[in-house]
Parts: sequence; C-alpha cells; structure tokens
Amino acid sequence: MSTIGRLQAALAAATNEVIVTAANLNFDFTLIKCEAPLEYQPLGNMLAAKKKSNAETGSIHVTARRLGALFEGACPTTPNLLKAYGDRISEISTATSQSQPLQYSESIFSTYAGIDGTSIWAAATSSKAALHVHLLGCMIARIFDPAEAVSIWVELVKERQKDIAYRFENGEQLPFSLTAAAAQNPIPKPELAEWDASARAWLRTADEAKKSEYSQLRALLRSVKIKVNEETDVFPSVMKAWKSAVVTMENLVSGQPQAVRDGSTLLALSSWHLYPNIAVFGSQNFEVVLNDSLISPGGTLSIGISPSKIAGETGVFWCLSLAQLRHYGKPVRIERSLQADPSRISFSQFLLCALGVLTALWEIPSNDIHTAMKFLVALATILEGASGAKWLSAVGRAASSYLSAEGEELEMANKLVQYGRRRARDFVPEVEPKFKPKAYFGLGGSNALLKCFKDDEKRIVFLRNKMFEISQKEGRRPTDFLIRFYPSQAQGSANHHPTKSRSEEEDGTVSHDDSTPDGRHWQEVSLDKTDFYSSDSDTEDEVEVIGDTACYATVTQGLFDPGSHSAPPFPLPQKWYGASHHRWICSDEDHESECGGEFHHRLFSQNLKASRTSFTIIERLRENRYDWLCGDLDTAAIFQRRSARPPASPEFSIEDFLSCAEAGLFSVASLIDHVSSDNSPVFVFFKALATVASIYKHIPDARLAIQNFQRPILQSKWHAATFPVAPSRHKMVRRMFKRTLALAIVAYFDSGTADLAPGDMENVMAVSSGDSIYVPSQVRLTGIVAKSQLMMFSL
Amino acid sequence: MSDPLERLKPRQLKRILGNFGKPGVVLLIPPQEPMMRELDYRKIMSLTTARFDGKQIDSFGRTSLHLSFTDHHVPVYDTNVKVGQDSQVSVIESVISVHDSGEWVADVDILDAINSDFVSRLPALEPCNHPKDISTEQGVFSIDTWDDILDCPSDRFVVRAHGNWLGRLATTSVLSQVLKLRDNVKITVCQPDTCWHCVWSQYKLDEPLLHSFIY
Repeated sequence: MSTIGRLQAALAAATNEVIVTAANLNFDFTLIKCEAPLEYQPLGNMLAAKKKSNAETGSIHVTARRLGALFEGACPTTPNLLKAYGDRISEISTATSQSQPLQYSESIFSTYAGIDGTSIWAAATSSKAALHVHLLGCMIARIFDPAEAVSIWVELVKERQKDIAYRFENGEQLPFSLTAAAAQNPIPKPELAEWDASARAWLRTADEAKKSEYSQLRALLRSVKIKVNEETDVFPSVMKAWKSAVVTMENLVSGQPQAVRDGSTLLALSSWHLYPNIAVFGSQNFEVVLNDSLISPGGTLSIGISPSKIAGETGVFWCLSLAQLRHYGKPVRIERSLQADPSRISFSQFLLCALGVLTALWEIPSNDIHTAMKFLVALATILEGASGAKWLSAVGRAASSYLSAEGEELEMANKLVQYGRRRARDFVPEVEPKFKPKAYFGLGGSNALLKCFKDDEKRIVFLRNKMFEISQKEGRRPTDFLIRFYPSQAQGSANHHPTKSRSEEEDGTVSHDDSTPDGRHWQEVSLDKTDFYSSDSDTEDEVEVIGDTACYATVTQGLFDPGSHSAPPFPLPQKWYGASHHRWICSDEDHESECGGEFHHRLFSQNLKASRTSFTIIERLRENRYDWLCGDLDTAAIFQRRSARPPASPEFSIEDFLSCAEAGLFSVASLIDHVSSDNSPVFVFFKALATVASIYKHIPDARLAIQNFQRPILQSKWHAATFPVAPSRHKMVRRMFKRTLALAIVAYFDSGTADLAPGDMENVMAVSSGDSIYVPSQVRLTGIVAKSQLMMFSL
Repeated sequence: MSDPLERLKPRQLKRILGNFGKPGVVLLIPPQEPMMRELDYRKIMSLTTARFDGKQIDSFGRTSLHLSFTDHHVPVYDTNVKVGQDSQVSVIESVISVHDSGEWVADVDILDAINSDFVSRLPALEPCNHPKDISTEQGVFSIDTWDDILDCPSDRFVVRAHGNWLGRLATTSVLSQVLKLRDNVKITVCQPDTCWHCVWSQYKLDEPLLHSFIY
C-alpha cells in the first residue's frame, strides 16, 4: 500500500505544477457527460426516463466513468467494433420495444420498465474505454454467476490499481487521468454488483431477441471443447482474454479473417451478439454460416482445436482462482463454461422436463415414453372437467404437445424429457419403499383397471376379449374358465366385513380352506344353522363371508358335451347347450331367461362352496375347483379350473387401459378415487406442478432457470406452505395467501437460487429478478384505458 | 394499476420487461406508515358543501401515480447461499405516491388499502329504467378535490372520478388510508353506470354514517 501513498503524494505535487481545469480537479467525474456516439442514440431514446437519468448522472454513471478511467489504455482503439456493437444493440432494443405492449408504459412501473440498457448508456456517455469495460462486463456476466462475477470485478479493480502504481513507480509515463483513477479508493462492491446486474439483464433480453442465431451458435458449441486461456489468476487471465477478444472482433468486423486458438473470441461473440461466420478445424471440419449484416464480408473466424482426449462436456471453459469470492477463506478455484444448453427455459419446456421426471419416478424405460404420454393424455381427457381432477390438465396438455411435435421440435422435446429423467433423483428425491410409486398409478395391472370400469357388463366384455386369444391359441376348453363378478349395484356390499343383516334364504357357505394364497383362515360354517356366526369367530383372524351377490359368467362360448369332463360348470338342462354365453345369477325367480344373447340361469348355491380366492362346484359326485387367475376380486375376476393344465397367463399392460379409455369404458368417479388414493410422492408432485402451472399460465413469456431441476421441488418453502393448516374463513387472508404464494413461486423459479416462504412475503407488492418485474394483478397494469385518458395523465 | 372494481384473481401475475437496477432478486415492500399531505384546518369558507347531483364528472383527471425507492435496501437472509458469499435476495422499501397536477398529495400502500375490510364493491343492481345522471337525494355531498378527501365529511359523499380508473384507484387508496383508524366507516366502489335512484331507495338505515362512494 505504500506505493499508493507515494502515488498520491506525487499527484498532490503534480497538481501544483500543472495547470488543470476545474473539471479535472474534481475527482468525482459525474459532472462530465459526453454525447453518446451516433450508433447508440436509438438506445438512449428508448430508455425509460429514470434509467436514462441514472445512466447519465447516477451512481452507475460514476461507476462507468471510474472503470473507464481505470482501464484506459488496456485495449487498443477499436472504432469498427464499437460502431457495430452500437448498431447491434440499437437493433435489439428497437425490436424488443416493439414487441412489448404499449400499455405498460403508462403505469407506475413505466420508469423502470423496458430493456436494461443502463450500463450501455452509462458507458456510451462516458468514454470509449468505458464501452470496452462494458464489453468485458458482458463477457464476465455471460459465463459466471453473480457472486463470482462481482468478486472478479473487485479483484480486477484492485489489481489494476496496483499495476498502475507499480508502473508509475518504475517511472513509466502515464496519462494523468489514469494515475488519478488508480489513486482513488476502490470502487465499492454494491456498485460493481449493480454494473454486473445491468449487463446480466441486458444479456437476457438480447438472447431472447436473437434466439435463432443463438441456437445456431449453441449447435456449434456442442462440438467444440476449448479453454478461454491458460492462466488461472484473475487479472492476467481476464486482461488477456479481453484484449484478445476485442482485437479479434475488431478485425473480423472490418472484414479480415482471423484464426484463434483460444475460446475468448467465442465467448465474446456470444456475449456481444455479433455473429461472424465461423470455420472450425478439428477432428471434423465444418463451417457455421450466420450471415450477420454488421460483419463485413471476409470476416470469418477460424478456430483450430485439437481433439480432446477426455470425452465429456463440450463448450468454452474458463477456469479461475477467485480470491475475493468469500469474505474469509482461501481462494476458490472455479471452472465455468459457456454451455451449449440454454440456461433458461419456457414454462412449456419446463413441463416437458417434469414429464421426464415422472417417467423416471414410475420407472418406465425410455422406449415406452410414447405410451406414457398417451396414457397421460387419455387420463386427462377422461377426467377433464371433473372436480377434483383439475391438477391433471396442465400435464395432459404438455403430454399432448409432445405427441404432436415433429422434426426439430420432437428432438428438442426428447432432449428435455431425457434431461428430466436424469434429474429425477434431484428433483424428487427417493422415498421409502412403502411409498414407492406404482407406474401409471397401478392402472397397468388388472386389479386397478377393473375397479375403474363403469359397470359389470363392460368388465365382462373386457375379460372375455382378454381371454379370447389365449383360449383360441391354446385350445382351451370352454369349461376351463369362469368369471365371477358382483353386479354393479351390489358392489358396495361385496367387501370384507361380515354382513350381519342377512336374511334366511341365503345359504352360501364358507369353506374351510387352509391354502388360500393370502393365508387367511376361514371358519367353516354349516348350512342352515341359525348360529351363523358362532362364538368361535372371535378367535379367528377374520370371518369373511362371500355374499350371494356373486354371479358367474362364461368366458368363452362353446358347446358343452354332457358326460365328459367338459360338462357345464353348473347343472344345465341339455336344451341350453349352445353357442352363446351363459350366466348364473342370484335371483328369486326360478326361471331362465335370455338377455342380450346370453342365457341367464338361476344360481343354485347348494352346489357351490366359495371363498374369496377360489370356489368349488359340487355336482353329483364330482367336484370342480376353480382358482383365481386374474382380475379384481372385488369386482370381476377370471377363475381357472384347477384341473386344467397348464395355467393360462393373460398379460395386462397399459395398452389395455388405452384401448378401454378410447372406448369410454371407465367411470370418472372411480378413476378419481383410485388416483387420489395413491400415497406415493407422485400425486403430490402432480399437485405441485398444477400449482405452478396455474401461475405461469398468465405469464407465458416468463422464463425459468434450468438449475431448478437440481433442487428438490417438494422440499421448497412455497410447497410446504400449500398444505392447508387450517382453511381460513376470511376471504382477505385467502387472497393474500394466494398472492404471496404466487410471488414466492416466481422468485423461486426465475432466479433458480432463491427459496422464500410465502409467510415472509406478506407485505411484498412486487418482485424483480433479472430482467423481469412480477406484479400481482391487483396492482397490475391494464390496457383497457382509452386513448384520450392516456393524454390526461401525462399532464 | 387496475380499476378497484375489477376483481382479479390474486394468483394472476403480470410480467413486465424491466428491473429496478438492483442485483439479484428484489422484493418490494411498502413503507410502514405512508405519509400524507398536511392540511390547513383553519379554512372554513373553502369547505365543500356542494350536493351530489348525479352527473358523471371526472374531477381527478390530473392525478398521477409514481413509484420511488427509499434507501432501505437490505439483503434477506438466504439459507441457500454458500457460506461467506453474499445473499442474492434483497428487500427494498418502495413508495407509491399520488400526485395532483404535479403536487404531492400522499403516499399510499395500495395493496393494504384496497384489501381493507371496509372497502367493498357495489353489488350489481338489476337494470332499471330510471333516468341516469340524476340523483335527488339530499344529504349526499360531492367531493371534487384532494383536500376534501384528506379531510372528508362525516356523511355520505360521492367522489367523482367517473371513467378514470387511475383516479378511482388513487382516491380509493388514499381514502382507505385516511379512514383506517376510524370505526364504522365504509367505502363503496361503484360501477360507471350506477343508477342512483335504485341505490338510494335500497339504502339501509344501519349503514355507517361516514359512507363514501367512488363513482
């Protein structure tokens, strides 16, 4: 520090000798404001009033001046580059202003709304060197996080001051303003943060405006792997990269082809939105033609890269050792890269990634993603409009957009889904096995599927179709299979507890069966005894009585030959042998009827011994036992005769769900019940997505940071707040909660790092992040105002 | 800003391209006790005594709203930030001020004011054939200046800012703020096509004495 002291002393001596103007004596440079170069004027006209005055006379102008003075001479003069840059930013700001609706300009946020060209205008009205510093600011903001960028600036300023003092010490002739700048106090951190934030916000806006060029550049970045430079200390590395980039771009803009070996130029042209044609020579040679009108013809950038030995990430890397990152601690070595990937995505892209997460949670292989999307679309279509199922609509829309994408869109969609699959572990952490999600909510298996049908007729048709192929192929006998079902209106009673309100005519029996698959024990209850439930029942695990509401139907059509072991399951007079289906139902009347092509017979339960998973038909001296094969024991299931070998194995898959959904066989209420009873995180995940969707559907042009996928969404504070502790009666409290929740959610997703609790945000009326201001509609801006009223306000 | 009559869904946000010049995520909070213009209470002769005659007039056409910041800009303790680094979330105190012809009138906390208990919307009345633009009820004052809002009469009165959503929003907020500490007051925001005949005829006797209508 003694060098700075001596410098100051020398300066004090110098001022006595040199005749200086009043302006030079005043080291606070805010008095001096230059006319901005011609190319930058359109930007000045477009800036909001407050921003413009801040840029011309406010703190950021001071920062721009000081930085410009400090870094004077670091870069050579580059008239063409600055001119081209000015034209480019004016072009971008004009395009952006035109796309923003006019209504906002008449609101209270008008002084803050619009593109953030503050740092550009501040630099433009300061000096040429300040413009160079702004260009450097864009490069740093492009590749580093805010905290890292600020620490880089702090170190840069410090080191530059030391460097100048050292040179002055050694007797080098330096311009007066440079030495004066070096002697001043270091620029405070908040001002550097403001400088960086403005550059960052500008980059966001400019990226949106130049989307197509940016995506072409990203395609290029996917195939290169190149370092910015070899230095790791901040000052030498940054100065070298900066100088190299500025000089190279100046030559390119002038039309001279350039060849580079490091990545600083790539970083520069991505940050400055100037796009020369690029030719890459490496393991593959290719050229990227961007046809930028501001680059004179002939300005082609050639990059030579040697093939990297380490396969892995591609892009432009910058590795620095930051000493100022922490307030206390050793220097932190960081490596950041200019990725080929977007760091901000739209909400519909976010939903696609979330769908990828869902497929990973359900452990669906990548081949079946298409089926999974069809499933979601089908489910959403069935449940559309049903109360209690609104949470599915956003996901359904995303899935159908996936299904209808083609070509490049489909490729992008696939990438997003794959990205989501990989981040699933971070986004929704794993849970204990008992909460493990079942794929497709379990609707791929027969149990759940059959539960959700509209009525028993449809179930029977479905089961028959299912078995049709098997029985044809394997030549099964018609008597091998039977369906047991509970008619729709009796389903409420077809469950497990003993129904004490039995009437006497029931004579279903319960057979004692040791070997039921679920190991239950049945108590044997004899016929015709009034002590239907004997006192022994208390010692058993459970008494399950199969009610007489069970009915039976044939699976396949066929002839029944009397006598042989393919006799009909239940005794049947010969005249009914025929090619149609039969049913045995419980009815009081003793007649047989035909209904819908099927013969209905009365079920005589004397011949029947039934338990939950099997039943036995006793006929004369023969017993035929049927065991459960597939289906849902509470509604409809197929039973196979024990003596039929080998056991058939119908396969149920989600395709069955899809075909039944298309045929409209499902009941909405039971589907909703089934899905809501899912106790894995998937259901909660859907609801969280629906909450976020309800907010983002009003702001379609908002962008989300992609690093949100590295944070567990269900552990965020806003999500914890959505579980109602006690629903409030007071309407105002509810409205306020919704507002604070919405603001917390946008802050969470826009920044990618913040996690605020809605409870802490009761007083907040707006949130600003990056280049966006989020305002609740109650305080919102409306465009309904008529033109004449607009004129009155401007008085 | 939207007309206070419109009931917008609280979850609905609007995104504006722009920022406040501060780095990171910035939350705007209103000041604790917004200030209002001091009045000269000695004036008697300039008190308003005009009655409301039902005409659709806008007396607040010169009103404008402005946003500014105080120096209260503090970082929020952010648990996600790694140790030793600066927080990226900060809170800034922001003031919305109401100006009339360029002169400052009051600072308002709009959200708090609009969501007060005693601010309500006039329930939609059935369409009728009464002539509009006429109100013959006695005892209803007509308010046309900001001084009258800051020092309002203890009666029924109508604030005339017809068709001017900004004026209606500003007057509602300021009035709500003025009346915040008083008991038994009411502010009713009316539709632009209100039929005063129906309103007065259905006027209940248990309504508060100080009842303001924003028309």
